[in-house]
Amino acid sequence: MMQWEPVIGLEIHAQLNTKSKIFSGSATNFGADPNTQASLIDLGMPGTLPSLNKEAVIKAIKFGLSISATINQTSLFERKNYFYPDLPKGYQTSQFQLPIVQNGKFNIPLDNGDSKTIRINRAHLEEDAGKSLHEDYHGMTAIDLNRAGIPLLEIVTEPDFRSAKEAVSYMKSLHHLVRYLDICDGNMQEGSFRCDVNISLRPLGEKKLGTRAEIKNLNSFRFVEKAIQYEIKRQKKLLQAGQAVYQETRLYCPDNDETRAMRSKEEAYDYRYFPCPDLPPLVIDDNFITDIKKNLPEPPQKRKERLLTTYGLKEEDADYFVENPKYCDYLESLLTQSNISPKLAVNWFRGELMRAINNENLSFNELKLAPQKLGELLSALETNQISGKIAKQVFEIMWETGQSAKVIIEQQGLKQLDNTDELNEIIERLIEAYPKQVEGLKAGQNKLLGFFVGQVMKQTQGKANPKQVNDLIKQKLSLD
Amino acid sequence: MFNQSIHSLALKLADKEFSSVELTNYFLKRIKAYDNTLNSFISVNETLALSQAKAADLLIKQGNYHPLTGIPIAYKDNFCTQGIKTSCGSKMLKNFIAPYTATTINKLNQAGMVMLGKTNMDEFAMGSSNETSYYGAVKNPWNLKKVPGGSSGGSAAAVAAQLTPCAIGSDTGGSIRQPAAFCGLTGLKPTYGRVSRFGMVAFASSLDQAGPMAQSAQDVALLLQTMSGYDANDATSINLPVPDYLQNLENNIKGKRIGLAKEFFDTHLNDDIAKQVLQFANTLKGLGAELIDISLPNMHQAIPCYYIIAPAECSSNLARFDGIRFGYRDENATTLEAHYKQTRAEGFGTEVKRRILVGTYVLSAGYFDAYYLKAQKVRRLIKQDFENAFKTVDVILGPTTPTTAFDLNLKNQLQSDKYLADIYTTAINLAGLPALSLPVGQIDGLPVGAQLIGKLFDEASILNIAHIYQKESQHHLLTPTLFNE
Amino acid sequence: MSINTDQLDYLAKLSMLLLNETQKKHLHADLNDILQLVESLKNINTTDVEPVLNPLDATLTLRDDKVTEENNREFYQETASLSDNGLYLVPKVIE
Repeated sequence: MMQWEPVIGLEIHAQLNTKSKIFSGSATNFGADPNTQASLIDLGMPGTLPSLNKEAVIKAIKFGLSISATINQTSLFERKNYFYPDLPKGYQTSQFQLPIVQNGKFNIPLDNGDSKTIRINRAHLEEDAGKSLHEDYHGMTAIDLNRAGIPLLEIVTEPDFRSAKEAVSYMKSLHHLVRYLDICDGNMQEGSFRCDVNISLRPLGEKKLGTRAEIKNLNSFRFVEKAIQYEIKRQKKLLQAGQAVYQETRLYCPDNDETRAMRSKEEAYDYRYFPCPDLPPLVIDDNFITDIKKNLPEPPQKRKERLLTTYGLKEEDADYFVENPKYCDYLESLLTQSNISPKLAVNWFRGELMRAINNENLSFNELKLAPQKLGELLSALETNQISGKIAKQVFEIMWETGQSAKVIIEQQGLKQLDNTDELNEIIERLIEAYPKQVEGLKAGQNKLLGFFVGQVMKQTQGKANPKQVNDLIKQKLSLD
Repeated sequence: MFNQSIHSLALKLADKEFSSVELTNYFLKRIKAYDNTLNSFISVNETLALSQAKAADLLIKQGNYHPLTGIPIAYKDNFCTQGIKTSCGSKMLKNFIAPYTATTINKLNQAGMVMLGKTNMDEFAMGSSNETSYYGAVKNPWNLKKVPGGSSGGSAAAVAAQLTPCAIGSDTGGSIRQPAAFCGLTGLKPTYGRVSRFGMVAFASSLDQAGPMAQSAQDVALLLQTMSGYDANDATSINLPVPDYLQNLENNIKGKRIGLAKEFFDTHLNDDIAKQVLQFANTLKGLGAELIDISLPNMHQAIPCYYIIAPAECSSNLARFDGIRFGYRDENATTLEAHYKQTRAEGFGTEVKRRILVGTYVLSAGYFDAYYLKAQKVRRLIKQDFENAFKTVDVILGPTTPTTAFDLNLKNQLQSDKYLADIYTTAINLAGLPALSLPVGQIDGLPVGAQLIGKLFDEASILNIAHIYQKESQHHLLTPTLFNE
Repeated sequence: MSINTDQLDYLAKLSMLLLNETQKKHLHADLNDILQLVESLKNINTTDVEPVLNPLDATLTLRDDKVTEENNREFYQETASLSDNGLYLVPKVIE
C-alpha cells in the first residue's frame, strides 16, 4: 500500500492588542455592544479615509525581529476587493506584494526532544472584518462592525509541517511568543488568535505538492489537531480510491469532528489587488527599527535557558517566569542586585509578593516595591538577621510604608537574638519550670521539643532563630 | 452685490455697506428666480444659510472676522455636509444625509462663510458635461443649449449666473477647470495633497483634489488660502506650510518663464481657441514674461492612462455602496447576491457602471499588468515630462479644452470621443500638479479658457500670473446677459 | 484587445451589477470602444520604469495609538435603511 505524506502550512491571524483600530481611532475592546465601536471610517462612510496606527507597525516589527526576519523598509498596503456584508468598504486593506515582514525562522519543540525550524514566509498587516451573525434576525443576517478594522498580523508559514502534532506545536509556541512580546492577547475564544490550515498529501518521497484544501478559522489547538487529522484521513481515502482532492475552502465542525466544503466558495476569487491610493508606501527608517530592537524582550527560549543554567531554577518555575517578561525582569534584577539564593527569591516572588499584588487587585505594572528593596529584606532573612516570621511582618510594613527593610528592622527592634548566653539562660529557666515536660522529652516524646522552642520564641517575641533554639535545647538535655 | 468679487464684497461687509443676511438673501432670491432654468443646485437650504449669515454679521459687528466671513458660497454635492443631503448627483445617495462634514467645508465654515446649497454634478463626478447627473442636466448660462461642462457643472453654472459669488468643486481629470473654461470662470485644481480629501466622496483617490471656482484669481487665492493645509485624517495630504497667496498676487511677472508645449496645440484643438490662447500668452509676454517652447512627449498618453487608472480606483471606491449602512437599497431582494446586484444596478447610472466595469476589467486576474500596472508606469513618464519641463520654465501655458461648450444631448457620440473633452486636463492630475483655468476670450458668445500649470505646490506663481493678467483684461468680468436682471 | 460577452458577464458579477440584455449590448460596445482608446499604451516602452504609487511619491505618516472615537451608533445608523437593535441587517447569508 502506498504511503502518503501530509504537507501542511499554517496562516495565523493574530489580532494586535493596540488601543485603537489600525486605520481609525475606535476602541478595540472585546464584547462591546454591537456597532458601538464602529466609527465613520470603520463603517466605510463615503468620503472617509484611513490613517495608519503607529503601534500596529511597531508590533509587527517586534514580531519580525524576534523571528530573525527581514523587515521591509518599504511596504505597501493594497486593497483586496470582494463583496461581503461584514466588509464595509467592499475591500480589505491588506499587504500583498510588499509585506512588512518576510523570511523569518521559528524553532518548535518536537515530542522526541529535538527541535525543528519552521520557515515563516511572511507576516503582514491588515484589517479584520466585522462579524456576520447568522442566528435568526427576522430571517436575516445581522452585521456587527465592532471588529472591522482591528489590526491583524497574518503570519504565513511555508508548508513545513508533516503532522498535526508539529502544526500544533508551532501554534502553541507562536501563541506563547505573541503574548511574550505583548503584541496579542492570545485569547482564542475571543478570536484574537485564529488559524487557517493548508493541507495536501503526496506519495512519500515525492517532491511535487498535491492539491491542497484550506480549512478556515480554527480557534483552538485541539480543533487544529482534530481538523488536520480528519483532513489527512479524508484526503488519503480519496487518493487511495483514485479520486481527486479539490482545491477548496473547508470548515471544521467540532460537533461531528469533520470538515465540510464551504458552499459559497466554489469558484476561485479574483480579488483585484492593487496598491491602496489612500495610503502611500510605508517607509521605515533604520532608527525606527533600532529603537524597537532596543526595547525588545529577550527571546523566551534564551531567557528560560538562562534561568535554568545560571540560576538553577526548576523547569516549572522557569516556565512561570518566562511566561511574563515583566516577572522575569523583576526576578533577574532581584537576583543581580542582592546576593540571595534564587530559590528564596522565587518562593517569595510567587508567595508573598504575588499575594500582596492580588490582594490589592493591582496589575504587575503598578507594583511599587523595587526589587532592590525586596532584596534587602531577603538578604536579612537569609543571613539569619531575622526569622521568616519576622520577615513577613517587615514585608507588610514595607509594602504599606515603602520604608526599607533595614530601617523597619532597626526601628521596631526586630533583629534576631543570636546571643547564645541569653538564650541558654532562658532555656535553663524553662527546664526548671517544666520538669514533667523535660521528663517526657527525655523519654522520647519528640513533639515536646516544639513546646520548648515555642516558649523561647514567645519570651523573645519571635526574635530568636528557632533552629538555633532547637539545637541549644537538645544540647542542654543531651538528647540525640 | 451683482458681479462683484468676493474680495470687494468682503470689504463692503466690513464697511457695513450691507449685511451678510442681506447679501445672502440677495443670492437666495437669484437662485429662486433663475435656477429653475439652470438646474445648478441639488439642494438649497435657506434656513441654514440665513442662520450662518446672522452669525457672520455678529462676528463682523464684534470685529472678530476673517476676509471670508459672511460671504455666500455653494459646494459641489460630493462634499459631505452634516445635516444636509450629499447626493453625489446619484440616485444611490438621494436620501443620504452625511453624519459628518468634510474638512474643507469645516475650514470654510470656521472662516464664517455662508453655505447657500449644494450644486449639481455628474454622477460621482464622472462626466464632462454634467449630463450624467441623476438630478438632470445643468444648462450653460451663456447659452442654454450648451453644457456647462463637468463634472463640477452645477458649481460653474451657479457662479457664472451669479447665483453665488463663488463655489467649491472637485477635479479628478479636469472637473474644475473644464467647466470653469466653459462658463468663463477662474478655477483652480491645487497640487495633490494641498487640500484635504477627507469628507469629499472619492471618485479616483490618487487624482481627486478639491478647489475653488470664482470670478478672479484673487478670489480663488482667498479661498485657497483657507482651504489648504495638512489634515491628519488624510494620509495623502502633505504637511507643508501654506504660503501667503494673496501677498504673492501682486508680484511682478517680469522674467517669468512660461512654457508653451507643442502637444497642447495639436489637431484636436479648435483653431480659434488656439489663437486666443496664444494671444493670452503674448499679453503675458507684453507684461514681461518670457515665452519658451517646450515639449511634453508623453502628453498624449494621458487620456489612455487616465481612463485606466481612474476607473480602476473608482471600481474599488464605489464598492462600499451596497445599500447596507447608507444609500439606496433594493428592498425586494431576498438573497444576498440579489441584494447587491439589484441595489447597485438601480442606484448607479450608466456612466458609473461603465467605469466600474472598465476598472474591474483592468484590475482583474490576467489583465492587471497589461493595463493597470502599465498605466502607472506611463504615468511616471508623464510626470517626468513635467519635471523635465520645469527645469527650464516656471509655469506651463495651454488651452483648457479643445472646444468651447458643446451642445446638450449630443446623440450617437462614441464614448471614447466624449472622453477626449479631458484631453488637456488629465495629464495634470496624473502628475499631481496645480493648474488654473481662466477666461481669455470668447467664440460665438461662449467663453474660452486657458490653463496655467505650476510646479508642485507652486500655486502662488500661477495665481500671480493670472491676477496680473486680470488686472489688464476684462474677460473674467463678463457675465451672461440672460441673468443680468 | 477586446472583451467578449462572457467576460462582460464575469465583470458584472465581480462588480455586483445586474445588467439587462439592452444594457449589456450597449456596455459591451462601450467597453470595447474604451479599450480601443487605451490601446496605444502598449506601444510605450516602460522597461525599468517604476510605477507611480503616489502622485507626489510621498510616504505614509503614522497616527498615535489613541482612542479618539466615541459611540455614535444611533446617529450613524440613521443613514441605514434597515437596522435592528444596533445591528445592520442583510438577506440571509449561507456559508
